[in-house]
Amino acid sequence: MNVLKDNSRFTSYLDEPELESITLEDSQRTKFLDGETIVCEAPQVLMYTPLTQTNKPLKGVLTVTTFKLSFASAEDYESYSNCYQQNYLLGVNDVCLSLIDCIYQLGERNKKKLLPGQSISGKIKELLIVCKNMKYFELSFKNSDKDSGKLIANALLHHAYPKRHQLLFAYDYKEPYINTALIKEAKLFQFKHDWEKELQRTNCPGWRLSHVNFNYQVSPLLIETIIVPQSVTDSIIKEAVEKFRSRFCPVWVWGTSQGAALVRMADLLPTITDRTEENKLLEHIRKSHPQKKAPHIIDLTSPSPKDIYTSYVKLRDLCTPETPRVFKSQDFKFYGLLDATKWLSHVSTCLSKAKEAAEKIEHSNFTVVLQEGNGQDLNCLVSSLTQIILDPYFRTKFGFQSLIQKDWVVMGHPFANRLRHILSKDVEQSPVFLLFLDCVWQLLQQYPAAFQISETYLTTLWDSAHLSVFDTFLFNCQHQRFMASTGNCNAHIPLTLRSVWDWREQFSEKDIALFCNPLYNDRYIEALRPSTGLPNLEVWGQCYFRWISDLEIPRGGRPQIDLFSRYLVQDILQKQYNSADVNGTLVKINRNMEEYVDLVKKVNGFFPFSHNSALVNNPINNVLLTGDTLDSQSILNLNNE
Amino acid sequence: MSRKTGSLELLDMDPNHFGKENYRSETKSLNLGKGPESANNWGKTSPSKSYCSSSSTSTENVASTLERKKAQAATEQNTLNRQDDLTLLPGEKVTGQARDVTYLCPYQGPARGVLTVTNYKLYFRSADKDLSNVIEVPLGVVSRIEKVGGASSRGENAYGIEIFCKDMRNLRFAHKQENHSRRTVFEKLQTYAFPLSFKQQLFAFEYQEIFSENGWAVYEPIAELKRMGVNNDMWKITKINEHYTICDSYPAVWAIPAQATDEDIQVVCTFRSRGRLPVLSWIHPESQATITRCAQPLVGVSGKRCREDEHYIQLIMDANAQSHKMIIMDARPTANAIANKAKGGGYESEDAYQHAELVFLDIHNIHVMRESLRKLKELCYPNIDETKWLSGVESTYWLKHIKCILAGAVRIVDKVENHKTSVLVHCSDGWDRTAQLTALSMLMLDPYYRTIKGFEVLVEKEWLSFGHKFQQRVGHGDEHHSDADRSPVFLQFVDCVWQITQQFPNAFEFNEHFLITILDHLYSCRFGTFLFNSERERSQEKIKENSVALWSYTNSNLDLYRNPLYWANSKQERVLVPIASIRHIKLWKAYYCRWNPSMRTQDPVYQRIRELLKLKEQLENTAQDYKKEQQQRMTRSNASPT
Repeated sequence: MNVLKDNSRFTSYLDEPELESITLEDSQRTKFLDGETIVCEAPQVLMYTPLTQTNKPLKGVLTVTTFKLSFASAEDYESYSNCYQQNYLLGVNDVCLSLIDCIYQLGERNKKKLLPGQSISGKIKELLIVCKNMKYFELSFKNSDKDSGKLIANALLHHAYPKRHQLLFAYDYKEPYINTALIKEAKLFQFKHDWEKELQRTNCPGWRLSHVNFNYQVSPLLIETIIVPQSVTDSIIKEAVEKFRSRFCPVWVWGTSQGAALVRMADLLPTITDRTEENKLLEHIRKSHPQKKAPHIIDLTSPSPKDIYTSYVKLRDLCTPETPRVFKSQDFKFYGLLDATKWLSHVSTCLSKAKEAAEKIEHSNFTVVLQEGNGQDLNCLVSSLTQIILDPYFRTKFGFQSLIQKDWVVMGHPFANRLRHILSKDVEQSPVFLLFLDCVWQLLQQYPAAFQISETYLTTLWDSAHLSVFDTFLFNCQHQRFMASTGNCNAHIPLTLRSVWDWREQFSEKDIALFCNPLYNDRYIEALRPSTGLPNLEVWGQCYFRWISDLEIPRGGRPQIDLFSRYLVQDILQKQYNSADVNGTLVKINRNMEEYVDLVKKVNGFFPFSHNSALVNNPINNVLLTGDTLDSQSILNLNNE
Repeated sequence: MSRKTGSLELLDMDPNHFGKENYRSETKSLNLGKGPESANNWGKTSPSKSYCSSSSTSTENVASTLERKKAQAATEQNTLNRQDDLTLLPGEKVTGQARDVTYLCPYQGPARGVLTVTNYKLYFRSADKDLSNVIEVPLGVVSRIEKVGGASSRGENAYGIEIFCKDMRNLRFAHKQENHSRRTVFEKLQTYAFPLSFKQQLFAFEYQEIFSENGWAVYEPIAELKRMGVNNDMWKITKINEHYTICDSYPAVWAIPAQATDEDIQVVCTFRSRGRLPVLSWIHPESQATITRCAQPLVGVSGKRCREDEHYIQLIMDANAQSHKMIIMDARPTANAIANKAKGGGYESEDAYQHAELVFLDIHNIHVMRESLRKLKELCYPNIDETKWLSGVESTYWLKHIKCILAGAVRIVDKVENHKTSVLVHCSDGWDRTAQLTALSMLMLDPYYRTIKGFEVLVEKEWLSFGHKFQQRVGHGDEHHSDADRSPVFLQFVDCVWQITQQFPNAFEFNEHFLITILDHLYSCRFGTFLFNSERERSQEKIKENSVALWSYTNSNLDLYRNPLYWANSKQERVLVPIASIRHIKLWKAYYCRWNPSMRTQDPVYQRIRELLKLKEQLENTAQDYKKEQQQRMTRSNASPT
């Protein structure tokens, strides 16, 4: 094996792309949103998908704007357009600046991480961009203008790492927005009404609404309307919040009609050694239970956001191999490396905590109190997982989106920090939300008929969390959102709130249809009994591996099952419709069945996230097949033949 | 009755598992109201014991199958209540029984009951009515039986028998010393688990069940070659090996280049290990590129050459007009191939074979594979240490071997399909790794082999007829458990097939249960299919006359093995190219971990799809009924004008 060749990044094995300049038709040029401005532009840039030998690099114009990094090429995607998710806000090869995680300068033998705020003065030939959703690609400026690489790098280092929240594109986006359809998508839980309804829906006795935090006067991290034990007076709460980290005293999020509630709270402040305050509140919680049962407390100190981030970085390494050599050496000890990321053990821990909570509530009718340092990370995760396990409502699309509003968005998961929308000293990046989505995905694997949402939905949700157009995942807490929307902070003009749940802002009906799980059975209402041990967990291939195009199974993989199921369900609906015609009941028919038959023949394993049109023609991939010294000189004993 | 523990529970968790299926088919005969003996009689009422292809017989058999199915459906309810009964297969008889035996279940703890040994299986039933516990293991699955504890053993359950199985589990039974039951059980187990070591015959020769399908007729070598268009200008069928004189481990019928003479064959076979010269496995329907297989050339340290062999390879290359090159895929790691020279073997030198390109595929030998599976069993049975799971999987190397075999097959497919180049495959003797590679690449290239019957043909052709030494590799009825010839080569092949079905879930007519059934009966010795080492031995033993084929069993109940996702009509991909990266290769938990109740081995997606298909069928039936009704109404109203 030629190690040198294997080590080089792009490409002795690729034809040198010709130097002639490309001309883009109007339809191929980068499109801009209302309020978006160009920062800088570079002609004649080459974009490479790492590893693959089947894909030639794309030639095109690279543009950095205040919203995105855009690459416009003359490539014809028309014939392939059914096979990938098209986003109204972004072109095929665009990424939102908020999605960019790391930028590397590539040299002959090494790569160098470029630091935010740094100013590059030397020449830059090649850049590697690694995104928060593990998308990665390489840009070559060798045919571009002399300073292009440097200018683009500097623009990215500045605009992809804003220091202030108001620099995010959402504040500049001028497109008018009327959220008429939103009401069908989710309950936002921003106001009293939704909480009141939730208390009624669950029919959980012993709790009441409190307006003690009206105008965020008690705690900016809590919502305005909180649900507390009936016996707790507002003055008790006022006193209590002083003792808790993040001023996050125990609040109700869910419960059963038998009186078992799910309660979240932070730890006491480190300065407080006397746990009397906490015990007082726990005593109130006990009293609120119809049988006066003492609550079951689950401590959620581990994994910490830091653990999760460390684990994520290692996982990301496994999902973003830049050279065939790296790919192969990872493949060589993949399960060991995967083990070392600890990602799946974190998934396992979270699932088993949620299972514990669910069992206490369901089987023993205990109130469960989740307790975590700041009350805003693992609390969100385990609390929402527990509710998904127990309550079929949260497994519908509407319910799931409402749950994320309730337990994450308004309950103060610090999305701005955790997703690193802004960069500052006290920001701790950590994909807690991704860990949650992964847990949900595991449940979906074990209970495919229990969820109305699909795997594609979960993956898209993770992508969308990094779009700086929507307010849903942009803030650290409800108070911040409120301030921004009223224009109260820094006298900025009021921010138009656009919810990510308004999927029509991003996708066509055709793509949104894929968010629904065809295997969903709405009569599946029992609690889930997930297996939480590592041997029963899997790697979420669609989300993590989709950018390694060499791993895409040509005309195979899960989409084949998915599309078949859609076809089958359509067929059943059609037949029900036909027979209903006779009986007089009407079942609405959705879409054309033949479309699925057609897609089955066309799509590859990462559908609808494949951008690898080349696969359609040439399915055999040599990177993975060429003899590998690592394999032949393996640690295995050479026994006698 | 509640059945909280034990193996039946395991079997029950997955209705697809063979134990249960077994169980059902056995109950059938009982449910007809006759004992096992009369079941035999019932069998004999059909015209002949062996299978006739005459149409009258087969219809009769079909009819009786339908009847049986009805009876089965009607008594499905009873089945649950009758599970206490030991049910016997036609030809099976009880050989020993011991009461007061304790089964030491690694998951649910000890259960006391009755242990029965038949000439086919071990059967344990817990006496505790509330905690009924049934274990049923075909004795062919047993690899080793050991006595645990001696006269001086104290402690509870310290005295008994431990049984090591080939299907990834071990069983322990404790006996009471004062009962003296251990000795009989041990002896019976020994005798019937290793009949060949005790001068007894394998159960397959006593088994009498009649099936509606004749599995022995599934594979017909000439018909299969004709399907591929042989004879044609380039390839011809030869019966030169009719009496197995050229090569005793090859079948009687093969295809060779049309230009090759009998004299060529006589010489070439002397230059290939065990006389296994290159013959045709598969031919591309459009390009005429071929896959051929053989054993290593007998080059030796001196680098011997053989003009006839070189000429013969040239003929194979010339039979494909599309390419002026030929690829020789040597399945072994380079080092092993070189080491073989010392023993008179070796590989083709590029000097001697001028237009041939030699590629080594780095697949390790049977000993490495056996060791890898041993580690895997250690990891999966009885209990799994969850915290060490991933690193444990890594350290068995099992998936890496699977990956390597798949990658080799993909390379063959690439050459044949994309480069229209013929490929010759060999390893050392050409009956282990070679069979894996040719069979897998054929499965990827030809959709026929992805049907149930096509897959049976593939196994018959590439594995059985070309002399994969099943007897040696599995050790049917033989007590030498540590025999160095044993190796899970065929299991690896089936694992690779499973991996491909995972990547192409709708490309196969059969489901996972079909693969597991094949593996279970690879060991069970209930059917004649996998017995002996070669076609020659099987024909000497008159296996077709004296035993039942596994395919008779499977093909009589095809619905059990169908993949609901199979889209045969949708003009699917002819060629499948799986991704041979470890990132896509998974441990086949439904097979390796199936005895562990904490493992999820059922595929909930398939279950849900089956539900949906049922719903669809119901709707179709309703619609049809409605149509009929309408038509009847129409005719009525036409007939009686008002």
